[in-house]
Amino acid sequence: MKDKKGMEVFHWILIMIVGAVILLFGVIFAGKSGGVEQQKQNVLVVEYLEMFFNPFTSVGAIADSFGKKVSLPYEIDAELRCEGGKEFLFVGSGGKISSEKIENFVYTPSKIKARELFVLTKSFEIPFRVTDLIFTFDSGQKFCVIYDEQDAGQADFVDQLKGDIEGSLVDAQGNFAYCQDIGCCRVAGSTRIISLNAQKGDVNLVPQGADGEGFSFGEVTWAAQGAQGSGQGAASAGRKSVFVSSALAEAAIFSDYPLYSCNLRRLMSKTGSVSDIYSEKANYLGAIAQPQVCNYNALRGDLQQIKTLAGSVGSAQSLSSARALNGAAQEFETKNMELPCIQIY
Amino acid sequence: MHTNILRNQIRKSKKGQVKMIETILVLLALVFFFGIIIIFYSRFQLFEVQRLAQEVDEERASSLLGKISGMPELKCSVSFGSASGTDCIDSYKLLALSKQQAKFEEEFEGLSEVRVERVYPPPSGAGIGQACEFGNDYPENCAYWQLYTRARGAGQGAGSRTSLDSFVTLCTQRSSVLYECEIGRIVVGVPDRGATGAGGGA
Repeated sequence: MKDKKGMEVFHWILIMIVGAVILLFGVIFAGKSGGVEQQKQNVLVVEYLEMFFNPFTSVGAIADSFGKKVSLPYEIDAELRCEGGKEFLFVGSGGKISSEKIENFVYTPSKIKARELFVLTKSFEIPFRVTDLIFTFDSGQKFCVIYDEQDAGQADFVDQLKGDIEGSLVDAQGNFAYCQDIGCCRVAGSTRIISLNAQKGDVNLVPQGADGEGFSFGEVTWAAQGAQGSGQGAASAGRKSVFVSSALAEAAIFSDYPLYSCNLRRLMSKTGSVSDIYSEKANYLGAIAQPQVCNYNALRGDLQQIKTLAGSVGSAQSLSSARALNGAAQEFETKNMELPCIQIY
Repeated sequence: MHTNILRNQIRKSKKGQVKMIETILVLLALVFFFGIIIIFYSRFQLFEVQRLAQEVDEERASSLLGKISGMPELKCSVSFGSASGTDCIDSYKLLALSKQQAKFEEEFEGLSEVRVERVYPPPSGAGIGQACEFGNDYPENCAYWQLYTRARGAGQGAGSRTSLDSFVTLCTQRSSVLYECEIGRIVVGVPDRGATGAGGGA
């Protein structure tokens, strides 16, 4: 009798233990597979975005700028970070983050939390095409550009920006306001204020080119966090860098300091590599040309100088180095155009 | 009398032992059954992830294939006039890039190789099967330009699982106003993940 009772108790205990183990196993398994599914989705979105950026790197060869609105399968938390001279795209949240190194030069104002993104590309030339810069921002971001209408350089730059947006990214027209003062930007409900006339916006662009050179080179500063439109990361506060070409000035509009600064180093390194390609090409052209007519050696020297100066811009990010690079690029452009034989680019 | 009671107790105790062994065996069978399910499921998941990774690699390679002909390091520049707006590759830049492979390795990361071949007119004479080098009759003296070959570490092998290709225009400047074009082909190799366990990936 006692044995029978003992067996029953034993059975019940066993059933409870086994049931608990199976339940625990089911809960863990469901949790894990849900996490894996989320991670898989993140990986696919990262890969999709990375592949999506690739064709944008080639459009500069056929058009000055190009834009597209991208709709994603779900709202993403994305961030671009440049670390150790490499740019990474992070997608995901709550510990389920996927990342991918991206080869393109992508600029974004801050962390992106959106289901729709705007992507705009712009060719970077110095004076030969080096690459295409890609600007990305979420569809909810509002920009305001403060400029002085009477200043020809500023007006030209704004016209160019307007042209890029209106020509390539019609859907994003409502995301941009162009004002004469900061009050107008507040009325427009802007989250990111760009100042071209030292009105202390979130991003301040100060062109330094001579008359007629406009935004060929200059200085860019990022204001302290929350100063104006509050579309600023803390890491950007009060930091300073330079731009060479209006394409880079536009890149500064769409970027925080850490990303911009790191990408500038990458970009200048790539400028050096492309200079080497042209230098090698000049070497071949020199071998088949008549030396008394075409002196490719002088141009190779200029290309070497562009490479060196680009390295200085990348490392020092000083106005003097930007001025020197801009000057060398202009000189090379003139010499190349005046060549009586095959031009290098 | 005593013997009978003892016999009954022994019989009951044996019955209990048999029941206990039965229960343990059923439990063992259950554990075994669940174990087999888990193994099959994880195998299936692993296979799915590998298939997805290979698919992503191929899509990336396809995307890179489109990007290569537009790379400033290869693309015909404005000096080619109207040809610069087309899918045109400058043969001098091609040669320059093939000589400076190390600097551009990052551009081709995730691929096992990148090669540009002359297709039409086909290479002839001594040029057949020859890698391109600069010379008087360049680029007629060769068949292909090797732009990238992935370095293989110890234990790695197999190379490309699949290759993707795309036709391009290969142009060579002959003078400031004259350039000659021919048909070429860009070939990119997608690494075999199973064999190398390498690649980009997240």
